[in-house]
Amino acid sequence: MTPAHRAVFGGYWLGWLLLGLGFGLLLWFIVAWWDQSEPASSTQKLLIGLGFLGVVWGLARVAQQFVDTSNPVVGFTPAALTLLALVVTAEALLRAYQVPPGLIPTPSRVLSTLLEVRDVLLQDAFQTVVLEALVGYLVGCSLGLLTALLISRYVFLERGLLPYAALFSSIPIVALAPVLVKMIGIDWPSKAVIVAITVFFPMVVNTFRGLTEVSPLSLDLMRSYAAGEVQQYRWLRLPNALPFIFNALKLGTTLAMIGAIVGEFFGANGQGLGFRIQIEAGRFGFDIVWSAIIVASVIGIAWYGLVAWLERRLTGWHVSFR
Amino acid sequence: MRISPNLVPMLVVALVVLALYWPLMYLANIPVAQRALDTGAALPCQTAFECATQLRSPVLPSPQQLWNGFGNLMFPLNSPNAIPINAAVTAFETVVGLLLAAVVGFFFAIGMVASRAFERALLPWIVASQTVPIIAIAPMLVVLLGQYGVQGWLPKAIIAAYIAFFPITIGVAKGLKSPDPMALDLMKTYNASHWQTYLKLRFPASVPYLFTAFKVAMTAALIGAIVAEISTISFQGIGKMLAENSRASDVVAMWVIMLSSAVLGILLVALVNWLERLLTPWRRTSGGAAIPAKQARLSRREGVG
Amino acid sequence: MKKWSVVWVLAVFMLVSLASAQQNLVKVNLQLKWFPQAQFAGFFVAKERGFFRAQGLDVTLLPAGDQSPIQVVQSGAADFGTTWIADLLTARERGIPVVHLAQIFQRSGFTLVALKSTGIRDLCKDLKGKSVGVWPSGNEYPAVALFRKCGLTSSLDPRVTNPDVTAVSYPFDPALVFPDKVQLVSAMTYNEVNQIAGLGYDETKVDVFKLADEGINLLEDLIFTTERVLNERNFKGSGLTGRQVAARLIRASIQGWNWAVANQAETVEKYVLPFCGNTCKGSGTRADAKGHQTWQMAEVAKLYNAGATTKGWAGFLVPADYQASVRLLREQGILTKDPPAATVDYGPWEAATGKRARDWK
Repeated sequence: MTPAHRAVFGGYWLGWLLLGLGFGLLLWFIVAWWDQSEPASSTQKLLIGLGFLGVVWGLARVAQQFVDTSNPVVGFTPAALTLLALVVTAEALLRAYQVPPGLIPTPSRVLSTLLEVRDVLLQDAFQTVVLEALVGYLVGCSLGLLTALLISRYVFLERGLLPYAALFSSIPIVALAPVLVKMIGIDWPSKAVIVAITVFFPMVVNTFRGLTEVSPLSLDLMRSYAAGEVQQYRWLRLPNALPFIFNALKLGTTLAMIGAIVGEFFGANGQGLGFRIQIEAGRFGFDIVWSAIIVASVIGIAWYGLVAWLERRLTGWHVSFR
Repeated sequence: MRISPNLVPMLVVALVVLALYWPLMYLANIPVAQRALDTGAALPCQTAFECATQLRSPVLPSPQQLWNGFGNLMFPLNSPNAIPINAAVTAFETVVGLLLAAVVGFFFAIGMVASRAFERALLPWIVASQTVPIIAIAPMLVVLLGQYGVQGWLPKAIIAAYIAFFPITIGVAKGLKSPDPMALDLMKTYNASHWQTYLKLRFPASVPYLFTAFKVAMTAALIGAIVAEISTISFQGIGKMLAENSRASDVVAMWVIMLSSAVLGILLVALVNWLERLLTPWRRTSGGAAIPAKQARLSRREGVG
Repeated sequence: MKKWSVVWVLAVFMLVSLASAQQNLVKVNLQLKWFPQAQFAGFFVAKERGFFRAQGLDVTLLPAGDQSPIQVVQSGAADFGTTWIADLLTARERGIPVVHLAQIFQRSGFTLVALKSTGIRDLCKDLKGKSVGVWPSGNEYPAVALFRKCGLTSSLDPRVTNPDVTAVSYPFDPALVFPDKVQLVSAMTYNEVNQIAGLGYDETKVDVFKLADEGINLLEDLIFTTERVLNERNFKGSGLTGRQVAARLIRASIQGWNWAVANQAETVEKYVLPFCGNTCKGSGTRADAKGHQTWQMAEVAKLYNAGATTKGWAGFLVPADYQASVRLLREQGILTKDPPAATVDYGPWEAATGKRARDWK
């Protein structure tokens, strides 16, 4: 950070000040309105608006400070502040307008519910994430990888199968869920199959692209070294495909979570995040629904983060990381 | 126009699948049929083998049943309970959702490319937004929007956009970042302004990424629209038909709707492909005749990324 | 001559006002709790025989999808709805301002069905360790109340990690889970009981436990709306208040129900079968839609023709029954406090029938 930069951004103290003032305003209102049961006056709503503006403005200034850090925890600060700003503002607004918990529960209520029901939600998460999403993801991705290897090797398979794979990856997989649950049963394997099918087609199409979109020059080079088929794959095609494979793997994490949860909507064996969400949404227990959403999201983010970390380790050389 | 070299292998694969379908269908259905017979269900058949093609809730429907199912659900074309109108409603929601998603996606992508601070503050939550099971928020969102008079197809389009904006954001951001550093340096040496860099270099460079992203986003939006129809108040649409027939346990209808939604998905993505060819004619010819056949095939390949 | 012209003018005036009345029907959406079937016969009769129209209403009957009718009415997509008392009261407790207007079914039709061979004789004693099939979207409360009453925990309770009873959710068709996945399955006297029979498990092979006999008599199909609709000064610009529209809707609905119950065969033939598709069929041996709906109509009539209806007070929510439902839900911890007085509004029903709630004996 050069002095010139400092001049441009006018120093950070103003940002921190705005941030502090904004949060102070919002928190002050929340505390003042904690036990009230009537809507706030329009002046108070205006103050909430001002508080939110202060936080956003302050955040925009402060965030510059964290741009160039390589420490992931420090680098995460702006994101954490953004979330905090949204949560606190939501809490203040919900209290100001006295929105009933059967419509939207306040974040504080969600958090206390989350603590209360965490054991059951973790149990649900085990069923949904480990048994359904993860098993389906691993099976679907490995099959996709294998299929891509095969069709990149045999032109006939490529011509016969790839057009279908490309077509099938544009199918809305949710439509499969009720049929598969009906076919395989309401236990976890049916959801694992849904997940496997969901992640399979993007995997095939992406991996195939990576395996075949190699530069003709490199291929010529391999040939001039008299490299065999296996060596070609080992040293040229697979490394070239890695970024594509990781794209599909990252895409697959969110698809897997959605697939598993949607699948549970069409029948579940008394457990699972989708089961919990469906039951509680039907009985207006949105504090529990949001708790389940938080659990699902945290796991989803961790999973995505893990894959992204692996990608960085294995394909750090790629253009998009420069 | 030449016949595609894919045609024969594709037909062979289709035939193999079809040939395998019959024995598989019998294999799956005969135990169910046997049980139905044992419990004394009134079926218009005597042996399990015969009944396998006539079950009301088959594991795999017979081609005859599927054919009849299509006949029942496709016609009359303008019936509110037939597929055409419902598919049109879903397609409409999907396309509106995609357009909304494009606006939001561009906003985030440009923000992220222009400001590292913006990226630091928001990217984790943009990723996180996709791990939120939309099917859980959909009912709340619809009730909430209903308070302000937003009803019908618009909430579904918004939910479709919620899923679809992610691939667009990522795709466009990747595209905007894709110009070679050399080219960016060149723009700098020409003393090009920020906007000029975007207009002359970054936007054109992002076009191929954009269409690839649109293809993924279109499917995502369709999934969003169908999920929204399933989990919220809906009186029309493929998702509503799916939920309804799932509740009515009409397996054949569910298969027919599933296949129709597959066709709808393929058509919608084909629409994007067509637009791509219409708007970026230079990409079509970039393969060139000079490149040897095998490599031309490779470089021509466009997949879903 | 002059006299005649007065008559003419009057006649023309009446015709015009009649015609304009025809055009000025008030559009009302009524959300049913399920797909079209004999369970809602009274509403179909009221619509098709013109009872709603006679009240100046143009009623659209909306079938249920996957969502709770309360959510539809709360969102404004429907003005009135039919649902069960347990999810009405819990929604009210969660801050959704729903109001009970009229009680159509005077008795509960909720049952749990088990194969005789599973050896379940006494629900409370034999439930532990069993799997029970329940429907989501607020239809699981009767089962929850039963579990709690028996002192058992279930997987429906988000605060219990090791439940005594596993509740399995499925999309309503008992064939999906019964008898392979669950020992007991939810069934309405008027629908699933016959579907299960059609699957080959008729009365000789299954035990049907009516929850009403176990002391779980939670009232079912009722007409409700939200405070917003009820307190509307000018309902959709019709010049009528929300209460007036509600009263007219209730009057025509009761008329329709009385007719349907008195003319069951004709109702099924003319007003149920033409409006229902796949969802009207039974299962297996009893798949025939006409047979299934005829049977359903008879069973539904039993739930309608009970309690207050038999005394000529159709649609009346008997205060004692209401109190019993509230008490049960409170005892089982499903409600934490008594619902506010505004949860039940007898006003529209009184206006519709000309009776007064406090005259009930």
